[in-house]
Formats: sequence, structure tokens, C-alpha cells
Amino acid sequence: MPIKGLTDRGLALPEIGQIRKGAKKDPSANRPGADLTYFRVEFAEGEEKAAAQFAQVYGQKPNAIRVILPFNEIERMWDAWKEAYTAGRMVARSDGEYVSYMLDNKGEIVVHNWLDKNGNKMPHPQDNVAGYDYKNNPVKFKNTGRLKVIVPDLSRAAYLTVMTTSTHDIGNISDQLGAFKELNHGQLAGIPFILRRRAKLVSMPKPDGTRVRVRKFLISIEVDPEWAKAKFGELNALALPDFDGKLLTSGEDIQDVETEYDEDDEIVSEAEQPETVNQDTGEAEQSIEIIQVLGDWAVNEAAKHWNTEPSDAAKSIAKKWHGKMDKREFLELLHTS
Amino acid sequence: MESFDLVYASETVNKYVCSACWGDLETVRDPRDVTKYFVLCRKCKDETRGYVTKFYANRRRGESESEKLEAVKLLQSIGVLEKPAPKSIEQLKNELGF
Repeated sequence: MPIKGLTDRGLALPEIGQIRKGAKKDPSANRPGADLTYFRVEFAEGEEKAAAQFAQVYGQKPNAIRVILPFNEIERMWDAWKEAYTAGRMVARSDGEYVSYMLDNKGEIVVHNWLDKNGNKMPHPQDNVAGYDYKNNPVKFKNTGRLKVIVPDLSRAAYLTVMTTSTHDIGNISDQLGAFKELNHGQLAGIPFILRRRAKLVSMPKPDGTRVRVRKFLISIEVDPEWAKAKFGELNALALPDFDGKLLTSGEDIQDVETEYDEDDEIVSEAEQPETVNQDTGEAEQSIEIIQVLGDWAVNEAAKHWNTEPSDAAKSIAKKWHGKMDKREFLELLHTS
Repeated sequence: MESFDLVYASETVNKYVCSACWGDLETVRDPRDVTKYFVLCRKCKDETRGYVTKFYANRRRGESESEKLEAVKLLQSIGVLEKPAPKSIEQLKNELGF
């Protein structure tokens, strides 16, 4: 369904659509739509031609989109804030350290341009609560990231906004944009990038307080390999962030990332965890547990299996395997060794 | 969509515009509670999703002019948009009113 009104704003460089990560919110269920493995691209009402052109190139479920960034200044196209919304409007915005804008519950501005009425900076609230709504429910800050991108395949001076509320995405995008800017001597505008969904393992808390690693499809911005080779040469291109040397592949590249709790990821019971279901096939997947092959658990397990001292087991492991691996894979290797 | 008391609803109409189309807002009485009012976009009506300040909308409109100039120049330089054919001296003179 198209987005109403988006192109009626009177903008010279109009926003013609939005690129989202999740399924549409179910109005009957008070929770965000399920995380998808591909991008959900919604075009504005009246942009049917652009939507058709996009679908012709990328299909309905793209997990990689060619984009260019319109400016060299990151802050002009990438907004990453903690924002709080109630009664249909933003009531507070913060960078996580200080509040830049805040309304009280009567709609009066209490912080503007980083300063309160007394001219002081207001630190970000420790409890993450921006205020209280009409029903006296706390209104919390949430991470919000918006990236303006131009899709060159549309041949238009118009942009789409990539939306995310994931802490991991916001960190990734900020780091990647910063790195590319540094590598390319301050220039970002016009570089052909590939916006991709990449599977990564993310650590999340379970309701019982323990943590589990789950697969999340995060946003990754990668420089177009062909452009990188031409610009930096084959060897240097391989050193670029997240460059994998392939063009528009499936994006299935599981990496183990150490991350903190993503406050936007809802804590759901294990049975409900969307990551346990492959969203393409609909089949249940077992969660992946990553272990250090020289960690206590692995060494003790190997010592038990080989009937040796843990120190000897550690030496034997070090000769065979390195780093981290899936626990099940480790057990299989152990039993076949 | 939430309904507000008259003061809050009027303040919203005065200071905000529709978050989707940035069009003007209006108050509509809440049929369930005569003391409350919905604040709806004149264009989007029942599909109003939220509000942004008039200040923000005006600032973005201003910024957008220079953004377009930059974006068009960029897209022309990398071949996404065609460069306009150079104008003849006669055309330039005409445009300048000579």
C-alpha cells in the first residue's frame, strides 16, 4: 500500500518512499511487525511508476539495493537519535548523553537547542523515560535511525529513507559511513554503495535473565566491488569494511558479533522468537550457540571425551581447531575425532 | 488516534502540521466524548498518523532547495541524470530579457 501524502510536502528534493526492515505492524497486535530477511520498500502515493521500475530491477523482496548517498556530510543524510513519541508527535530527542529537545505534558517546550529554560544542558535521563502521557504511562526514548539514499536505477533526483530502530544497525551504519568517508578523503556523495541485509548473530537476553545468540538481519552498507577495484585496486578493495568481493549475493553471511542488549528487540519467550523460524521457508530453525574452542566448556568437554587432563585436552584442541564455532559443530567434530 | 481537550487540540493545530504531507490540521469533535477533539489533517483526514512542528517543516523546505541543486549536479556528474544541452547565446539573451 502506498504512503499517502509523502510527496505533497513541497520539498524540492522529495522523499518518494521508505525502505523498512520489518513487516507491516498488525493493528490488532500491539507490537512491531516481524523482522524480515529482506527490505520492504514502500513508495509514496503517486509514485506508482517509480515503484514499478524498482520492482522490475529488484523484485518484491530485495535484500540488496544499489544506492548512492547524496551528500558528503554524514549528518545531512544520516539521523541517529533517541526519540520519544506520544500523542502523535515527538516529545523528546536526545543523543544519549544530552537532551536536545523536550516538551512537557502540556506541550510546552522545556528543552530547545540542547538548553533548558535556565540555559543548562539536560543530561539524558538514567531511566530512559522522556515523560508521561495522558494516562500517566511512561514514554521512553527509543533509538531511531533514518538514512537518505538515492536509488540510481530510478534515474530521479529524489530520495528514499532507510528506517531502522535497531541499536546494532545504528552503530553499524554510523561506523561504516565514517570509515568510507575516511578512506575516500572525505567524499561520500556519488560512491556506488550496496545496501544489504546481512545475517549476524546477536546476543539477546531471555526472560530468565540468561542470554542467547539469535540471528538478526542487520543493515550493512558496502561499497560496490567494481567501483572499489577501480578506485583502490584489488588488494586495497578487500580491506574495505564488509567488502566481500561479490555483487548482490544473497547476503547470508553469519558472523559472531558481541553486542549488548538491543532495547528495541522485544524480549519474547523462546517459542515466540522470530529468529527460530526461517522467514523464507517458514521452517523452524535451531538457535545457534557459539563457543570458544579453547573456552572452559569446550576444554572440559574434550577432556571428558578423550579421558585426559584439561591441560592436555587444550593442547590437542589447539592443534586441531581455532577461534569460535557452533556448539553442535564442535560436538560433532569431537565425536568424529 | 488520540483525542485531546480543546486547549491542547488548538495548540496542536497552531503549532503543528501533518507528519505525512505537512498540510494544515483541523479539530474534529470526538463523538464519544464531547469535551475532546481529534486533530486531523485537512487532506489525510482519518488517515492522519501524527504531527511535526511547522518550524521543522518550514526549515526542511528551505534546506531542500539547496539539496536539490546539489543532488542534481551530483547525479549529472555520475551519469544518472542527463546533463542539459548547453544553451545558445540567443537563448541566454532571451532568458535575460534582451
